[in-house]
Amino acid sequence: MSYLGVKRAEEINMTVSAVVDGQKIEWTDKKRYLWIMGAVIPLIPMMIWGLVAATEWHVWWYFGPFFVFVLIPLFDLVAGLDPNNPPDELIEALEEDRYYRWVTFAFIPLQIAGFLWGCFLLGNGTIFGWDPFATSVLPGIAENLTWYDKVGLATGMGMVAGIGINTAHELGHKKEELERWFARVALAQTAYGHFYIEHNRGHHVRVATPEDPASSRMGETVWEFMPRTVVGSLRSAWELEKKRFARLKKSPYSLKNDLINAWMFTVLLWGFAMAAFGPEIFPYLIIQAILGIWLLESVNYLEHYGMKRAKLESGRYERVNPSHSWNSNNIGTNVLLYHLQRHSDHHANPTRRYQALRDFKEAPVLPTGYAGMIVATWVPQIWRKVMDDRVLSHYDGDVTQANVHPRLKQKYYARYGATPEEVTV
Amino acid sequence: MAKFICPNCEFVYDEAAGIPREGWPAGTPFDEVDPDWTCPDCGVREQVDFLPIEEFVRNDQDGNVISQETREQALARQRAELQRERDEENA
Repeated sequence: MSYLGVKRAEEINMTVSAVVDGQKIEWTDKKRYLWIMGAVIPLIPMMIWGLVAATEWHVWWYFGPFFVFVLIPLFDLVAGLDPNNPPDELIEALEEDRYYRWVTFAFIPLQIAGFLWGCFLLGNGTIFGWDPFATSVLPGIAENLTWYDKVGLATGMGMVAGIGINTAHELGHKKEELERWFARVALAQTAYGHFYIEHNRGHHVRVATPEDPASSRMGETVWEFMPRTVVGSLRSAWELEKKRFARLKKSPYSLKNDLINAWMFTVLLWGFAMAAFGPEIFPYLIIQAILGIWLLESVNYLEHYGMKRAKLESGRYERVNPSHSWNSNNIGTNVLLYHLQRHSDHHANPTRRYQALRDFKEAPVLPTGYAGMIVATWVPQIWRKVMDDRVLSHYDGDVTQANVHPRLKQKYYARYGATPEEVTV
Repeated sequence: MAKFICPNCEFVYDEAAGIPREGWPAGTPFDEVDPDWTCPDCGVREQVDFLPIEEFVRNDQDGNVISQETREQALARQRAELQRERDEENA
């Protein structure tokens, strides 16, 4: 059956099925072809060129942040929510569908291409001294970029770089060696290679505890969180590898150290870019890396804000469960971030592939997608107004169960009516 | 030599092979592996959570992942509540 020229989902192969106990179970992934949109992000530097060439407006050099903080949140508002879950019986079949893997793989070469494209513009249109468009930088761009054009372009490259960390995140959790190497490639642009170790072996172990540098505390502003997570994560990553090398009775200063070999990708990529397009692009490489890291850490900030795992009598923390991460079913951000916002399922089952992640009814939900929520983090007063009551109602009004910033503990406990004995805890 | 499995992601520790990369050479008995050593694939289970492979039925990726300890505490709470309700009815 088809109507209005729209084919039924089954006809265009969006359906997975499996036979369980003699019964055929079917499920249609409505987002199957939307996932390709994730690979649109790395094309931002090309889009910028197109927009500037078409209009000659300098403001388009700043299109990157506009895309991420205006267009994506609007897309979320228009596209709405998708709470559909694949049935448990089909998760395996869905994970084995290799189509989904190619969707994430496609991001990587496009990211490298977009990065080099941006560097070509930053270097005023020459490559190894050769000037392919003699009279212009690129067709449509007659004059060299001004410094503020270049800063704008670097912000756009930074948005791609940050979302590239998200792609690296999806790939780095997988058991296959190839995907783990792709993760390192995607991290090269931001020089954040240690993320792959720290996130999997540090953050996932300690998530939603006061010990985790990458889990934000209730009351903590994003601007306080930034240095704590960036420095703390780097230190923790180094400790993890140092510990492993101590067991091997070897020095951690080795190419076999996963931090050092991941950083080598940055040395290669940035080294090539500076050799090809000129060393003067270096400050802009720094700007885009800082913005990429800031974007990623902003997402870290909102994923576990105020969440705390209970300590068991044995002294261990309770296992991570769906109640420890903030989720969102917004289609826009979910498609662009490979279901990152189904964060509860991700933390419960870290190796599960993005297409198979599910929404949990008991998990706390953000008022909009991650992109829009990042905008709310910029003004801490607004962020607290939006989020603090939500944290509190998640814990049924018991503020002592939340991960409250030590600096604000007295204040929060007093405001939300914890008893004096609890204040001294 | 025994094998042990991660109940979340089904990573297998084989004592005969060890995991030299992780600092556990071939032949390292599983009880000599640090108790806080995390599963190298999923990172959310530790040495103490691994099961002998013979005891493994299916992974605990059911979306309602709670530890045995939590489950026991929750059950104890439920039982206490039931008891209290019954006591109230009787009274």
